Amino acid sequence: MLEKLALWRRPIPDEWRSPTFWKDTAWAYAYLAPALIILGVFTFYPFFQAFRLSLFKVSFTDFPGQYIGLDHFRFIFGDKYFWRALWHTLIIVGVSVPVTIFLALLVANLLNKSLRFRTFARTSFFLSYITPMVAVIMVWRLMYNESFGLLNYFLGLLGVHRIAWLNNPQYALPSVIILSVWRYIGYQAIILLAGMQGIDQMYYEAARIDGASGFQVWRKITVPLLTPQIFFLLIISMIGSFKIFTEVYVLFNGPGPLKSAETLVYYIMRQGFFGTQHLGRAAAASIVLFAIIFVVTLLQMQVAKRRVHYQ
Amino acid sequence: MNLRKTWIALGLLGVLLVGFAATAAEPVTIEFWHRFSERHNETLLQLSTWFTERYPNINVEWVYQGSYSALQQSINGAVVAGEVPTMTIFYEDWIPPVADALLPLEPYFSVEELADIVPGLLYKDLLTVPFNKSIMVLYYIEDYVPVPPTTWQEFYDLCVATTVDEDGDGQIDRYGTGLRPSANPEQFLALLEQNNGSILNDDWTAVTLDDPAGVEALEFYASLAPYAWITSEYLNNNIGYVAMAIDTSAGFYYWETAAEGAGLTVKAAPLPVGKKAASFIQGTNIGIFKDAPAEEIAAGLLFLKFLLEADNTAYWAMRTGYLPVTLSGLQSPIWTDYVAANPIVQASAEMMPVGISSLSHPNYGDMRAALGTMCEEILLIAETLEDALATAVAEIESLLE
Repeated sequence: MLEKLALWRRPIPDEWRSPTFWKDTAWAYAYLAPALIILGVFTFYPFFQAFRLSLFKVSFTDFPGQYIGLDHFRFIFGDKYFWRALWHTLIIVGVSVPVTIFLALLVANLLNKSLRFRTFARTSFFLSYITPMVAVIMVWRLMYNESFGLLNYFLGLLGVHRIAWLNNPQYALPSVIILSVWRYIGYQAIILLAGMQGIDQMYYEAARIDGASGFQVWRKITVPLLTPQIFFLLIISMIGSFKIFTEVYVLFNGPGPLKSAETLVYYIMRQGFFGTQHLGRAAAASIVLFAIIFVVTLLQMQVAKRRVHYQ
Repeated sequence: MNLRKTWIALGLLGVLLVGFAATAAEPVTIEFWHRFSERHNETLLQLSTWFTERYPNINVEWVYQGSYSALQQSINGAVVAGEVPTMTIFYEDWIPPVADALLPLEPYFSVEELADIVPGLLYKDLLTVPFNKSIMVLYYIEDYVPVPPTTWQEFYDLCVATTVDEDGDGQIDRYGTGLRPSANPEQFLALLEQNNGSILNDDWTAVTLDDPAGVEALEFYASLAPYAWITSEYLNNNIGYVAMAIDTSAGFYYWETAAEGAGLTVKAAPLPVGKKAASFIQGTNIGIFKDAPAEEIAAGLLFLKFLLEADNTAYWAMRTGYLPVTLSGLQSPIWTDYVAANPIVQASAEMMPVGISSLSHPNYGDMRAALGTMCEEILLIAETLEDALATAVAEIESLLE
């Protein structure tokens, strides 16, 4: 057994005997050092510190505080608002991620055609993504306004009654989802468009010769060959949707009526920083969120192995 | 006794001044942390300029710290790190965690000076003195409410009368009032105080929110729901959508600007009276850190007293929408002339002597959140009044330890 584990008895790779190898390695680490230091201080250290904080009754003035084991986890798992926040987050992920990708596919398809003002259209779609988020959300907040908002005005023209988008618990979460979908369609469409333009034309020519319809070409050639891009978007938009916060914070000045739009990250911020300072609870909830995202991403990777087609 | 305390205060201040004079050959800079919006910068700078004219060796550096949450975190972090500024503003419930780091101010103030501070604005242990204070008043749109209500019943009746569906489409086009349950539970707390109710007993050992006075205040609050726009938005941003609103006097500027834009006339009146007249005071206080260098502490004390001088507190109030925090400030010609020329301010000046402040309990932040949730669940009928109240009481009880 010990023989098997005795790594030091393995033969030393030849390259290790070369001084040039060690010199190159040292230079490589020297170049990497600034990035590693920054990552270490601002990403890895806080990441591991969050684990530690979740086990302590800690405050800004009592650091690291008293060790209390898993009490913070017990609190959040017994808190109905944590489960509601998790449910809201899952709804946002479950609805906005597929809807955004589907709509982005349609938009990318349109932008890939020979349209007039194609460049203008591409820029327009991308604008929603590059405009500062808070500014965009403030505009949406005005559009959602119950008494003078643009959305209710247009609904009124159609004979639909005013909707209390931001003040009715029933509409709070849909308001967040609509905004989120609108914001990310342009970005995702551009990524998909780049993918579409990278697809070899011979596939389309072969399909045409075989007499495939436009929809068949789209379904059997375009979408399968876009799966690397779709998979990339799926992962980043899913992680982004799990971490949604600013939209809720700016739209509602809070977690929405009856906390009906509270997401997990908002819950974390509310526990740790808004009026109350339960940093340990916030850290514990962060770890739960990390675990969820980690597991879902692993699952996605497994699915991707079977479903993603690289050319 | 009082005379002796006054002499002690004068003596201590004298020692500080002598100490300051001895070291004052070098200029001293007071680092003052705040979170006032850009609109108030000019006023802050004017005050510090006047102060420096009087004490040429002392400069005041105003350091903006972002939001109130960010300021609180900065203060706590500074205390832990031992890198404190000279002075900063505090909400009452921020004080307990850093109380040991603050300079007790009582020895430096005479009995007369303390008696001059508006009753209700002095807190336990006198670790801070009040600075930017506003009070809840009743804003009303004169176009819809020609005469403001003076009692709860009148307020309720007017809410009913001014809640209207103007175009007959089955939807309310204007509400009698606006309630912001989770964002501003102080609307309810003002009613609670007016009904002789309270959140806790005097020594903070028991919850009294569910006493008959509390239940009655909550029932009245809940009865407004059908005639109230229930929101977390600022009510002045939706001018005309509500006919009346219980809101902070610090919002005068925003209400008047919005009303002007909408072609409406907004006025302010004292809150309708329940069993007694009362209102809720909001805003921060100033404290000095005892670990700041001695010369900065001495300079900071001079600045604190300067800010409390009648003309200065009145000037600050006049320029910002806050209120003078001393009785002499409220009676100063600057303020009385200003009130005479701006009737909208009259209501807040009248309410000031009956104002109450939030608890300085260390867990008040959590208690306030529980009250906000309770108010919201009742108004939006997510829970019955009894259940929501019971939940809030249980939560607040758990915070008493």
